[in-house]
Amino acid sequence: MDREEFTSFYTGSFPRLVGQLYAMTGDRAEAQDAVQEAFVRAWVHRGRIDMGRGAEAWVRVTAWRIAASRWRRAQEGIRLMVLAARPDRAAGPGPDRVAFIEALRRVPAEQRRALVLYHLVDLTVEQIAAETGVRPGTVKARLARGRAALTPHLRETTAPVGE
Amino acid sequence: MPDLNDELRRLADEAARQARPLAVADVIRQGDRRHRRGINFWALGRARTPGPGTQAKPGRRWPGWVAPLAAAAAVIAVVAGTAAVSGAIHGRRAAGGVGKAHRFTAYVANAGSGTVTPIRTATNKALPPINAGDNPDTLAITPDGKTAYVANYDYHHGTVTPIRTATNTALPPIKTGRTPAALVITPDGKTVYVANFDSGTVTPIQTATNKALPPIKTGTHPVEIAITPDGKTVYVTNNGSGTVTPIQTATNKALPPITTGSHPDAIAITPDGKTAYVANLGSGTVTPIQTATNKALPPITTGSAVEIAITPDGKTAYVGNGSGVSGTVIPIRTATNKALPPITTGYPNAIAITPDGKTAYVASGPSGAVIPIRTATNKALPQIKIGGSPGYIAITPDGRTAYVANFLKNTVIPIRIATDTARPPITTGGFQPVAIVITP
Repeated sequence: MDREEFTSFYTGSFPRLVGQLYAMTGDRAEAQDAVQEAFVRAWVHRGRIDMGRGAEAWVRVTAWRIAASRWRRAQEGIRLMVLAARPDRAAGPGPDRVAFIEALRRVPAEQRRALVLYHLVDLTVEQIAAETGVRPGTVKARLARGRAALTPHLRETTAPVGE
Repeated sequence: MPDLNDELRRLADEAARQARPLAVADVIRQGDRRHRRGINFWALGRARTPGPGTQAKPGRRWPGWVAPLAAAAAVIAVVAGTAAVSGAIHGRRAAGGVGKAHRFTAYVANAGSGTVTPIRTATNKALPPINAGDNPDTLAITPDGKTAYVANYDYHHGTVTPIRTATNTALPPIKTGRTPAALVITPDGKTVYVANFDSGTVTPIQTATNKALPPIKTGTHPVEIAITPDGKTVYVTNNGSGTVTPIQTATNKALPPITTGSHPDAIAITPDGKTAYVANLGSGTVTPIQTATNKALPPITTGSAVEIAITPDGKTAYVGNGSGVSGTVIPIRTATNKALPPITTGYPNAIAITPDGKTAYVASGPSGAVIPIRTATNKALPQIKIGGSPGYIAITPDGRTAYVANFLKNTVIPIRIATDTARPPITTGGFQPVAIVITP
């Protein structure tokens, strides 16, 4: 990947990846930071990254890892990567969107990641298994649990968020 | 579940619209500042020299992006390791241990999970991981074995975490400069010197108080660090400046920089302390520096030099050269500074030499193997295949076992040196093990 290719890759995919990471992390500032840092690393390692579909997945996985490593630091124990209700500092979403985001944040991190890869990034279960390093069966289970947790919060009438 | 698709899409689109990317030139500039990592994708292992038992020889490895498959290998801009292999000093200490040969503890830095895993070498059992900082990638241990220091290679939260080995608990992190890349401990165990890659400084830390002293200015991108066996001088390779900065430990003052080749990286000092060998990644040479005068001798052509280890008798420096997935190890006779014919190994992520000096072990990530080289003949023995991406090696002070960090498999593989056979892998309980240090 030369400078020109990197530039078009960067400008073309940065916003999309921030959107994906936001959906995965529930924190806009964190998503932006993690994606930014991942692109710096992508430049450093450009010689090893294939252009095409591989590059975007590379940045997404790297950004996820960067964000995940920060949660681990912030919280006790690496198993509890449930995003604690962290206020979204950026202004914007209306009340029902807020309820959905809050519900999404309560979904365990890896379930949330699987949901986003499936429903937003449009990957297949097999592709998600490859990107997240688990078996397809695990991906299916994560998707099912994540959906179950979110179902009550879908549609316009969003129920109060319970624990 | 159409609504979920829509909700996620709306959420993501909104964030995408508000995304504020840095200018691409800034991204590239930041990336280039990490030049050293960019050059060796597979990793720059760091060898350990025999010398002071605490000599930190960090290494960087980039075990490679294995397609999307490597989610576990999720790709952290990886990193370095330090190991203390006991040379003469701790060899004696170990021998004094009344035959208790297997009483060591290996500490493994898991870059991806921000943890350090202790492994008891007597049982090859991993203990629960200890929380360190962001991206821990280099370790060193005090000569008394009481404290391991872990450098957390992070731009924003550059810290060093001390770990009490008696209890395997982390003490509060000590703030360093940006991106601490390497560290070394003085032979008297009183001071840790930390090279801050993105600050262009070295931070001394007093081990008695675990307080950082004022940083010492170096060149651009100090990346590796070594100390003379008498503990009087620390040498820091400035990857961005093409120089080495000597620092007098008595005064913590930097001496004038010594010009090397381009992008100097790994550094190793002979056990007699007379010569420092510097691997110039950019120019593909090794520069010997006479420590008495701090003068550089003529460079020795090697190829893309990423790693150096020196035998305990000081007679031979083994230089690992790597490019892409291939690589060689070139022995250099220190008496004449002449290079011997290269030994084919595959990309050499790390080199470690046994305390008896008979075998150099080369970890090759792309080969998924460890290659033993007999130093008497400079011939490679059959590869020890372990799979994954071996990125780092440390050898126990008694010379019985080599521990190999397998980056992509989150394991550590013990290798029995007597037979050159791999033992069952030890799961670290963390992600991306990049460096190992073993207690004296």
